[in-house]
Amino acid sequence: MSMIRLEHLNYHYHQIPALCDITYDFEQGKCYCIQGPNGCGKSTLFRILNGLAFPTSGKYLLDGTEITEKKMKRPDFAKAFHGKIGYVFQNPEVQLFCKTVEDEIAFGLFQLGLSEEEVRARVEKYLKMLNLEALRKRAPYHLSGGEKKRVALGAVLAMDPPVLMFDEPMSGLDEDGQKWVISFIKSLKSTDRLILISTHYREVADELADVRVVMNKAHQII
Amino acid sequence: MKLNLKILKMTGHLLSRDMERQPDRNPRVLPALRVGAAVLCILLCAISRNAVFVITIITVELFRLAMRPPDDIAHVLKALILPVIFTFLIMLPAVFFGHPKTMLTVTLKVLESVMIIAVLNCVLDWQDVTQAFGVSENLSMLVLILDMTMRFLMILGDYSNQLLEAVTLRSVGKDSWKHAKVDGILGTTFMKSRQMAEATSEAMACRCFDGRYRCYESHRFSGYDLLYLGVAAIMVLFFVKTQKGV
Repeated sequence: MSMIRLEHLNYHYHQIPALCDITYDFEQGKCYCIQGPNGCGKSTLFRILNGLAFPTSGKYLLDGTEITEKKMKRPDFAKAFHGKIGYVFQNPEVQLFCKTVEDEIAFGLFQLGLSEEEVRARVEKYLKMLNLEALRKRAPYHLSGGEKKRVALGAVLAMDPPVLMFDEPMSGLDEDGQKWVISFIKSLKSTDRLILISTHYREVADELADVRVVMNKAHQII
Repeated sequence: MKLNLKILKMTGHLLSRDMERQPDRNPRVLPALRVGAAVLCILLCAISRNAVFVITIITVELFRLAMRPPDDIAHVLKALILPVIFTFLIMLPAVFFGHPKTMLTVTLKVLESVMIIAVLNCVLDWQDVTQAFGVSENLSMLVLILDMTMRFLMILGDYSNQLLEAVTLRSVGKDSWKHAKVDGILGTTFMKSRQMAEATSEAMACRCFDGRYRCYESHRFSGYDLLYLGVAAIMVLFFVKTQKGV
C-alpha cells in the first residue's frame, strides 16, 4: 500500500533545479535507503517530505492527502501531519533544544496533547529502551555524539509516528555507534511502519534496505 | 562543649547531604520551592521594621554557608564584599545626620539579600532556576527561551573559539589584517547562528510545536519538600511575631 506518493515533483531553489520530475511510491512496511552523490537532492527531498519546503510543481501525497503550503499553514493540519512523520536530523545538535534529556523526549508528547501519565510512561519507556536512564537529568548539549543521537532517536520515536526518516544516521558516530544504530533501526522495522534512510554508507543499505532508491547528479531517481 | 560540637557536626552532615550534587543531579527539594522561599525571605526582610528578624535570617544563612565546601564559601564571600561596602559607604552620611540605625538596617538588609541569592546560586544551577519558573504554564515559554538562549550562547561560543584557533594556527609572521579577520569570525558566527536557529525551528515544527511549551517535571513532592515548606511557614510566623508591637 502506497503511503507516500510523489507525482512529477520538481523543486527549484533560486531558479536552480534541486529535484527534477520525481515520481515514486513509498509503501508502508518497507525500508527505503536513498543513495546518491552529494548535492543530488536527498536532503531537499527529505525537507519536502517533512513539509519544511514545498514543491515548485508536481504533487506530494501522504496517505492520499495532498500536502500543500496552504494546508500546512493551518495549525491543526500541520500538527496532524507532523505527528505522522518522525524526522531524525543529520546533526542532532540542532534537534535537541530542551534543558534535560527527559524534557527533550517529553517535548513532542506534550505537543501531541497526551496526558501527564501517558507522557511519563512513554518517557520512562524510551529512556530505558535507549539506555538513557543515567543521563535523564543531563543537558543534551553536554552529551557525546553517540548519546546525542540516542536522545534524538528517543525524542522522535516516543511520538510513535508511522513514518520514520533518518538523514545520514551514521554521521559523527564511531564504529560501535554505527553498529548500534543499524541494529536499532532494524528492530524498528515492522509491517505498519515506513522507514526512509538517506545514506552514503553502502553497509547501511546492505543491512537495512528493502528497496534501494538511487538519485543521480541530474536530481532524478533512477 | 563536646555535645555542642557533635550536634553541629550532625546538623552539618544532614545539611550537606541535602546540598550534595550527584553526577545525574536530582535535587532533593523542588527547585521552585527553594527559589520561592528565597524570594519570600528577601521580601520579608525588606519590609521588616526591626532588626531581630533580619539578624536571625542572617545567622541562619551564615550557618548554612558554614556547612558548604570552602570553594562555595569563598564564592559567596566574594559576592558579598562589594555590595555591602558600597551600601555602607552610601549610607554613611546617615550617621552624621543622627540616624545611625538606618545605616545599619539598610546595610544588614543588603547583606542578607545578597547572601541568600549567593547561597541559592551555590545550591541550584541555571537549569534548576529556570525549572523553577516552569511550574507555571505561562512562564514555561520563558523557560524554553532562556534555555535555548543559553544553549546557543555556549554552542556559538565554542564555534567562534574554534575559528579563532584556526586563525591563530594560520597566522604566521606579521599580520596587518587582524581586524578583517575578526570581522570574518563575527560574520561567520552570525551566519552560523542564523542557520542553526532556522534548523532548530524546523526541528521544533517537526515535533508538532504550536507555540505552547510545558516543562517535564519528574520530581514528585516528597518529605523533604514538606520539611522545606514547614521551615518557610515557621519563618513567616516568626516574622509576624517579631513585627508585633513595633
